[in-house]
Amino acid sequence: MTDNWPVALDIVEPRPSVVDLAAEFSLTLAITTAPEKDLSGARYLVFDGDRKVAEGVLPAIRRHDPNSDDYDPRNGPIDARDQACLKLVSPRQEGEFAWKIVLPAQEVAGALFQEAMVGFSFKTAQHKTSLAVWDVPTPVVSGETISFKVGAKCSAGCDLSGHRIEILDEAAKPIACVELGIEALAEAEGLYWAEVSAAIPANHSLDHSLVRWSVGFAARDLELPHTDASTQFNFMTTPPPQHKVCVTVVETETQTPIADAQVRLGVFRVATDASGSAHLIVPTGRQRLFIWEAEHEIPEQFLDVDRDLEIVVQAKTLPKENPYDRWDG
Amino acid sequence: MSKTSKPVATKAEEKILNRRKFLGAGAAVGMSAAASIASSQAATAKEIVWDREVDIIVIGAGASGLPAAIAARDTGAEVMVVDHHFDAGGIAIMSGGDIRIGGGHRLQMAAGIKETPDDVYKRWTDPLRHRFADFDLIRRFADENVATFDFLEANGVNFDRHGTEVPREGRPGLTNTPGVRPHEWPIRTDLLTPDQNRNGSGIVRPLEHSARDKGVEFLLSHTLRTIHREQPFAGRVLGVTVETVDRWFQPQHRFLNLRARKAVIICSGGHGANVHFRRMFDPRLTEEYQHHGHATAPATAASEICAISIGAALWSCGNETDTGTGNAIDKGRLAVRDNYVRGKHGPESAVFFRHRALGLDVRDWQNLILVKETGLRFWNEIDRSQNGYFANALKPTGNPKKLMGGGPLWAIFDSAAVEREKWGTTSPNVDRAGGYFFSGATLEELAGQLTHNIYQKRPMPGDVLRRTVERFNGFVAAGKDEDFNRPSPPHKIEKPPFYAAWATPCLHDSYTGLRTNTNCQVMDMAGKLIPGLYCAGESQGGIKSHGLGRCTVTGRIAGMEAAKSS
Repeated sequence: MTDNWPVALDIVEPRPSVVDLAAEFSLTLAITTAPEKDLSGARYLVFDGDRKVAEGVLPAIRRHDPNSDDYDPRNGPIDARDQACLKLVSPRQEGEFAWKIVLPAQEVAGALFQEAMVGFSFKTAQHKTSLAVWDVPTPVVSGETISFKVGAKCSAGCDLSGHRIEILDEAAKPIACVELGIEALAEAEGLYWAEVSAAIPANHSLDHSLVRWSVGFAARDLELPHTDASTQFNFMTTPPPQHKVCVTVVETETQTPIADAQVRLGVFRVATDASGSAHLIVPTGRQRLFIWEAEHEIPEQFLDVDRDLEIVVQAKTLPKENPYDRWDG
Repeated sequence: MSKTSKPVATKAEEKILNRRKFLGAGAAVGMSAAASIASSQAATAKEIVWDREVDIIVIGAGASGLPAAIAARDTGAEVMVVDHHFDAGGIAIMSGGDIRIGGGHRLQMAAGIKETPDDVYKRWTDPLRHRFADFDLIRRFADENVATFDFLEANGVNFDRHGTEVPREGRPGLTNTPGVRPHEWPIRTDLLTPDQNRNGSGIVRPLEHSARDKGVEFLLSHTLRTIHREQPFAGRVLGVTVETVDRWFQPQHRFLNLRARKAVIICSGGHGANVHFRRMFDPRLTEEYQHHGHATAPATAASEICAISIGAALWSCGNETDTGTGNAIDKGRLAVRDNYVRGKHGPESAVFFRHRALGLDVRDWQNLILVKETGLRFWNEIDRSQNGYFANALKPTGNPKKLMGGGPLWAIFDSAAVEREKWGTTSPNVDRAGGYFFSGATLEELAGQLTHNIYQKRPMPGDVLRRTVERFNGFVAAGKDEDFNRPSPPHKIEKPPFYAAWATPCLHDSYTGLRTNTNCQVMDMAGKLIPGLYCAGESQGGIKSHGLGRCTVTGRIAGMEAAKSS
């Protein structure tokens, strides 16, 4: 054990440049030392100036294996150096930081290694919040109450349960307010959500208009600074519907019903069921009927709706795309 | 530093390698055979120490290389085929198998179709579609159609199941080119992608079997590095230096010098995967556009570059920029890098490790929007026209650091779309690890991840993507796409999680290449023949045509003519 192997450290791109306050972030070290020597389990220290801010042991060193499926040189030059991924926690203060990682001189697995260090700098920033709004019904009847869902997410994964979301109308007037629930949405990690109910003003001028409301999250009473967030959502309004219209879509040649065609009559939309029928209730008036189904061609038409209607629409099957038709010659 | 280890075949590769052993290891030159240090740096051709000597060396074991090798071997020549993949077949093995040849062959006559070589010539010299073609070459091509059909049948290609059904009569917008298609190769263990066989296997596998049976040697996992000529720009072509490549096509610094007594035939599939080469003809085709053969048979232009370096000329370059008929670029599948719409490779494929995912087929483009790296929509997503969709997809985004190329395209959709399309959002359906598929609880979070893709050179602003989606959702509610007139978009993008899937168009064919005479012998800048150098298929200039007809016919011509060389 007389050898004393030199070690060189580097930081693999992309380096973390801006990280959330007091949040865990990853940094990959490139480690170069004598061939066949392994620094897995080596002790490391992290300093901010002369102040130690973290310490630990290196996880298992990752070595590139050209026969591994993870090795893909087509994405650019391969960094063939040994690598280790460190998990560090950023400071709680906003600012710019210059840290250094030190591997002190030490013995690992019976081999002696010289000291090595590498510096890196980064900024810390407020946590960013962002919003989603979904299951918004459209169209809605003026004067009625609608419900939909809102969710908020923190970039660092903070618990936002109990925090308030505000719904504003087009004039920025508050319409509703809701507290986010205690459970994040199962399908979307860290998205805290709630269901909102809000009344649509009974205003004739709203009929047949696109209404844009906004949702706001004011980042208050959180342990760490967060940005505010806002987003918009929209829906159409309509006078009260009066007439039942059943639109049945059939294939022209076989008269086979076409399921799951998207039927749009005026501002109303519904998909056809297994029998090819879409049932809508619409107001009196001239309504544009547009039907979309990817494999069929269905001409647009206009319906004068002044009573309940049942209509059958013929859908012409589009020729199956011949993959060879594209090719010339 | 990582240690260098001996390449180890994966299970999928082993299937291929085992098949090769079965076919006869005696006919193959092993990767480790007599590898020598390159003498490509030798001061003169006379100093080269040759590791092997044969009559004819064919570069490329695909749709033109195999016919070339067999045609030459049929004359009694000693032939070796070199290919950079670990398997024969080129990209043709994943082709649909549509061979556009006619002129009155057996199946046409049996079907009562009357056609002559003159009809073939007339069609392929149509002034609208083929105005940049070499009509002398087309004449030879037309005259060799029937003989090539007979040649393919004689070498095991079975056309009987499909007859002359391909293509159909009267297809709108296309020349009415007759063709034939073989049936898929029936031996599952012979397939590159057993879970999605293609008719192309029915051409290249029987040809490979025939070539091996006739004694053609195959040197796989080697790529062309140098073509040696007596003098730098004069005299005969003497042979080549090839280099071993690993399963990622990466050079291994082990070289072989192969002497060709008669000729070298370039059949290496063109240049679509070489960004700098293809941009000579269309500067828009920057690095983000993938080539459909990237994972199977990269069209690297290595042969063209080697040939140019000893004086060869390019030819019919107008063909390459004349993309009006949509041959060169494809809208692609989603969420996988090599996203040619019909080049789907599943985990059973021997090349799945390069594809990394199956990708997502789009049933209905109404289920998503397409945005550029800026987060902005750019066109009606339903469209696929050259002058509309593709022209705008390739239009610069305004990034002052990237004034050419349109940047990556991303399909943006929500969990409701995933449900409608029945897409899988995990491996092996999508390539998350490679940076071709992302998800986020909000649109801002989604946008923030896209820089993990190497072609997303600048961050997509989350607020821009959010506003794009908000505006689009307004079009859905109102029933009218005011920006790009997409027909009444029916589905909002609102239900988390949100997804971004790689949707950048991919490139297909090469339509320009080396200048040859009608015997497929390569010519130099002065119009003089280069003795001992031939070229066929997509590496050859002069014929603007997709696929196998051009490759098989010219490959056979090149093989026959090269064998006559002395």
